[in-house]
Parts: sequence; C-alpha cells; structure tokens
Amino acid sequence: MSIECIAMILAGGQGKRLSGLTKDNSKPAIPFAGKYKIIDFTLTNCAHSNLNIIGILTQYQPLKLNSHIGNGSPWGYNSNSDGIFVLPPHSSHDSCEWYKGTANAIYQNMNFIDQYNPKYVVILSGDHVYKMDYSKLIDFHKQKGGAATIATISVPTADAHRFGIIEANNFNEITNFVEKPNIPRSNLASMGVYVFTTEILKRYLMLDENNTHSKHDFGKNIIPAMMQNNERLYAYNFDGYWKDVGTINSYYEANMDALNPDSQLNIDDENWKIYTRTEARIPQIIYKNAKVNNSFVTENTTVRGIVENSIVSPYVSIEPDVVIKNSIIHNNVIIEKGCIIEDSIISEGAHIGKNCHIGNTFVETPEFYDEYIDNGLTLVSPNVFICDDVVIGKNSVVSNDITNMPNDIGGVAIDKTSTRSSNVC
Amino acid sequence: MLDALGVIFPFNDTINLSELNEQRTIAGLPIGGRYRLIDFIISNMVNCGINNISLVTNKKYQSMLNHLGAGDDFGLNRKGHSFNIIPPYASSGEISDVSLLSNAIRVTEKFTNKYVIISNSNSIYNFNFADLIEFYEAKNADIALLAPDNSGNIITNTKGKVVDLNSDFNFFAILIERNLFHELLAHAKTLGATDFIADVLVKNFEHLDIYHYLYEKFYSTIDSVKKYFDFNMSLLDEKIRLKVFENNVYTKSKDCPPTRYAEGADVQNCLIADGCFIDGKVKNSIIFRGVKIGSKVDINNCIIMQDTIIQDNVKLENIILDKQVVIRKGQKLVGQASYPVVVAKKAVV
Repeated sequence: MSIECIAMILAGGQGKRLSGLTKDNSKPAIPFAGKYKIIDFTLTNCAHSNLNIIGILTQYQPLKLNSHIGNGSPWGYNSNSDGIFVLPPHSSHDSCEWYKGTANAIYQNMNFIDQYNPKYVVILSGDHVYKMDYSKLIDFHKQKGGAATIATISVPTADAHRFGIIEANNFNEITNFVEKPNIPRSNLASMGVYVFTTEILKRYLMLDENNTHSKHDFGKNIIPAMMQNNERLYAYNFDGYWKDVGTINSYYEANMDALNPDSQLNIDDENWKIYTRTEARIPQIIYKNAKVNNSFVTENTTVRGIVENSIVSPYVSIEPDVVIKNSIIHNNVIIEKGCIIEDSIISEGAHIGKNCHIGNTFVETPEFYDEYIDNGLTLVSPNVFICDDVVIGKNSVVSNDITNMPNDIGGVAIDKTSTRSSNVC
Repeated sequence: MLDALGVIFPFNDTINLSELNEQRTIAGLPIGGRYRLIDFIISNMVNCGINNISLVTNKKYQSMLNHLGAGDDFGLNRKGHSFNIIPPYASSGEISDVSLLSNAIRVTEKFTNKYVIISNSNSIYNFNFADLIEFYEAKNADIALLAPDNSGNIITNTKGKVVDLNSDFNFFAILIERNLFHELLAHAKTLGATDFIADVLVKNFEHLDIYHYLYEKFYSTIDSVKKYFDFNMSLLDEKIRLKVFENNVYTKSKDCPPTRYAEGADVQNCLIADGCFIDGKVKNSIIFRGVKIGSKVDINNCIIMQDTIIQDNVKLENIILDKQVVIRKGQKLVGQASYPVVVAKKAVV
C-alpha cells in the first residue's frame, strides 16, 4: 500500500502553561469556542485538505482525547480507504520508553509510516487554532523539491522571541533558523507545521536518535541539523489566522477571536466548516428574564441570567440573577443564583455556589496566584466545587474545592451579609 | 435487546398540514428546534433495544433518505443492527396500505425475531415496548394495540378484547408475531384488501384476539397545523420538555457553529438550536439550526425552521416559517395563536 502523503499530529504534550486547564486533560482535548476541542481545527484542516491517513501521537492524559477522536467519523475518517489512528507510546522487542520529544515520537512510529510508504509526511500540532489547506503546502513542497518545507507566519516583532524564527531568500529557501532567539532577526515564525520528504526525514530521525545530547525535538534538533548539513529547506508563507494556544492568555485570546465576528478566524465559514463530535443534545433554552449578547451559546445549555461577551459550552446551567462577562464557560458547569463571573475561565464540571464573585477586580487573593496566570484572568479548574459567597480576585487559579466559608484563607473577601454557607457546604 | 423488529408505517399520510407536508411526509416534519418527527419514534425504539428498524414510505420520501441514511445517527449502522427505508415498488398511482406493508415483508422475512412492532409515524410518546410484549404474552393475544385513551373509539368487551374500532381512532403501535404478520398480509393481498386497519384488523375481530394496551403518559399526536404549533410551543414548558426528552432523542448531526447572540439580541423564553445568528428581539419561539435574525426584528410566538433568514426591521407573530424562507426587510406578518400562518419552504416574502 502506498499513498502520497500522510499526516502525523503531535498531541502528547502536557501543556504546563495552561495550568489547571490540563489537570486531567491533554491540551488538544480542551474545549474551544463552545462546542469544539482544540484538535478539531487540525483534524478539520486534514479533512478539508484530503489527507486520508492521520496518526495522532498521544502521551499525556489521553483518555478524553481518545474518546473524542473515536473512529474519526466526525471528520469523515471512517471509510475503508482512510483512517485516524491514535498512537500512544508502546514497548517494542528491545525497549520500552515514553516519547522523549516530538522527533522521538515520530521515530518510534516509523513502522506506522512505513506501512503506507508515503513520499511525504506532514507533521502537525494538535494545539493550534487555524484554518489551513495543507494540500497547497504539499504542492509547494513538491514544486520546490526540497528536503522539508516549514509553514511560516509573520508575527509581531515583540513576540518573535517566542517562536522558531526563520530567514529566507527570495526563492523562499531558508537561510537561517533559530529556535526562540533572544534577538530575532526577522518576524517570520515557524508554525510548527512541516512537510518532509519521507526518506530524508527518516535519515535525520535516526541520526537524532543516536545523538545522546539531543532533546529529540523538531524545532530544537531536527531542523537545525538539516540546516547544518545544507539540506534545502523552504518557507511556505501562510497569511491566515493562526494561534498556538499554549498559554492561558493565548487560549483566552483565541476563544475571544472566535467570538469576534470580524476576526480572520471566522468559525462560521460555510466553506470551511469546523467538524467536531456532537452528541444527541436538545436545543439551548433561553428563559424569560435572561439576556444574552455578543456571546456564543451552545445546545443543551440553559440560561436564566445575563451573559455578555462570553462563550458558553453545552450542558451548562446558568441560574437566575447570574451575570457572566468576558468569560469562557466549559461543558457541564453549574453556576448558581446571584453569581458574578468576570474575565474567567470556568472549566468542565465546575460547580459555583450561590452569590460567588469570580474574577473580582476589587479583592486580591494571593493564595490562589499561579505562575502561569498574570493577565487579569481567573481560572477555575475542572470539577472544582466552590461553595456559596466566595469571592476570588484576578490572576487566580482555583484548583481545589472550596467547601467552607474561607475564614482561614487569608485574603478571600467574604460577603459578610451571608450566613447560608454552612448549610450548603 | 428486544426480540422485535420495528416497522414505522405512515398510517396517516392523508392528514393535511397545509404547506407543511406539501413536500414532505408527516414523519419528516421539522420539530422542536432540531428534530424531525420521526426522530422521536426511532429514538424510542432504539432506547428500548429494538435494533432493526424499517421505515415504510409512500410518497415524498426524499427528505427521509437524506435525514436518516443508514441510521448512523441513531446507532443503527453497525453489526447486528440495521435501518432500512422501504420505498414503494409500484411506479404510479395510489398504493394501498396493504401493498406498502407487504413491501416491508422483504425486510422482516430476513430476520428471526419473534415479533414485529408496527408504529404510526405522527405521534410523540415515550414508551418501553418491553411492557407491550409482556402484556401481549400475558393476554395470550394475537395483536396488542398501543393507544392512548380514545374516548370511546376503541370498543372492547368485558375481557378487554377489542371488538370494534371507530374509523378515527388514534393508536401508536401494533405488536404482532412476525409469522402472523406475514400470514395476515399474504391473506389480505390474495383477497385484494387494501386498508390494513379496516380490512385486515376490523374484519378479523372474530378470529383475532386484539387487546388494547392503554397508554397513560404524556403524548402528542400531530394531525393538524394547530397541534403542530402547540406541541412545539409546549416544549418551552420545562415540565413537558422533561417528559418529551426523558430519554435520548437522536437526530442527524450537523456541523453548525454555536449560536451567536449579537449586540441587539433580546431573546427570552425560547428554544434555540446551534448555528443561528440573532440580533433582534425573539420571544416565546422555537428557532431551528442556521436561522439568521437581523436587527430591530420583533418575533413573538413563532416557529422558524432551518436556514430561514429574517432581514432587519421585520415583525412576526404566530407564524410558522418553513425551511429556507426569506423575510425581506420591513415586512410584518401576524397570524392568530389559534390559527398560525404557515409560510412555505423557500418562499421569499
């Protein structure tokens, strides 16, 4: 069996900078824009690009990701000529190890690639939000005839130090590649989207595997090694929307971009529908006295309060006298009466008791400060229960249940008029 | 798993729902924001463990083919499960109930299940068919009739055996042994009978033990525009909604984005599907997938089906808008709650 090109999606990273969001879930399976998971964008791209064979490399907390992907039918990958294959680390005849890095993950699945004997391999990430036709990238690669093509995007100069920065000549040939440079010499960033000519990729993966000093990473090792050996690498300029949602801030921004009708992301595009797994759900119910503006709401959610400039996922219950502003509410969240939620991300399965105020500007809750959140957002981690009348300030992460009136937690402001907390908690 | 095959049959294809069933069967009526009427019946069967279901169609079955396909969305496209659409074999003219049902035999004879459950296609009810089988066996019946209270239209003797049926009686389903089903139909065909109820059941009361299983929970039978309108509106009542959606109701999934509520949205007491854009005032209404509602719009008590577009400054009250309708800027359409106005599919007003 031989096909021209297969796609390998890297979906095993922990996503530490997403803090509590990835407590029991991998980055690619985090809810996005109400009804999607982050990996839907990459899988949708593959489907629209007519890539028939997809390998998904998983490692960290893969259960939710696995069940989301299932047999691949939501993306059209359940026919007999194509398929999505989840590839966890596995033991072999003489070794047993985790994926040591992105390059090693592909190396360990070389047999999978060889089954299809593809001329080209596309390497993708499961945690990027973008709409891209990979077939154009592959055509470009074929036309240039290089060892590899790296998709690039122009980034603001101020952000360039966070990316692999590329310099290319007038023929798009890459002349310099530096991973996360202190002083960037261009603003052309690698998107972490690569096409490799399979034979050359295999050679470099084997060399890299034998190099004990290597971190086994595409950006840090494979690409620099190819540059060093004067392989011809090309830059393919992509000018659509693209965001690596590796931090709480970029995750929040990408969601808000999806919500913005003028954003280039445009998830409503009829010609590039975003595919995802959907269940049998009843429509959303907007009750009398509810008010919903500039927001996304999805099926099987009930709204009895006010929702403004926010994203609400399925199976959410928003009770009366609740105000939700500039926030992202994930699946299966309950927000009880009288709560105010501002600039917050409330993760899957969280339950917020009555009259809580999450994301309050006027209190500081340093005991909830988190090294990964510093931009005025507040995060409630998955399945956390917060009892009545709790106030949480900005830049905070609530990772554990709050089941008592938090007298013993210094700094949490308490609504002194309330006496009900002990009954509920 | 139930030892029964499901057959959904359009006993009431002659009901007139104005423009609503001009291009579709009653079973294909869009309902409840994202469903078609038939979804409730198929889901109910699937939820009871009926794994092989057929839909007998007569006319206008194109929308059913699109909507149901091989039954994937109902979990029926897998080994040991099946979903079949049985189109009419005759090429023209009126086709009798008996000959349509006989077509179903081509499917039912392939299985070995003991029973066949023949369900009507225009009622919404939640019922565990295992109870009907238990009843059937306890009564040692030939046929068990699942029907709600019929105010005297189903006449039984002291033993509960059905001895007569008035022509407009309302029933949900018939349980019959598969072999007897085949035998009755073969016999009816030989005699040139046409109507299954009148010619096969009613004429055989003496030879058949037919028992009425009284259904007493919530149901709705859609047999008029008003009933259709009222059932949809009743879903805004939480108590009724919980009854209707007591068990999963499956339907064709679509790749819609979430519904976008814009700056000018003022939505209250509504059931809204995904993929909509709303920038106006919408009250007490059922909005299907992909509906676009412009700014300064005022909608009250309406049912708006899939992909309909309401441009700016429109006022609508007590209106049923079929799929892909366009209501142009500034239009005002007002119906009566007792007599909602229907705007036909793809109309431009």
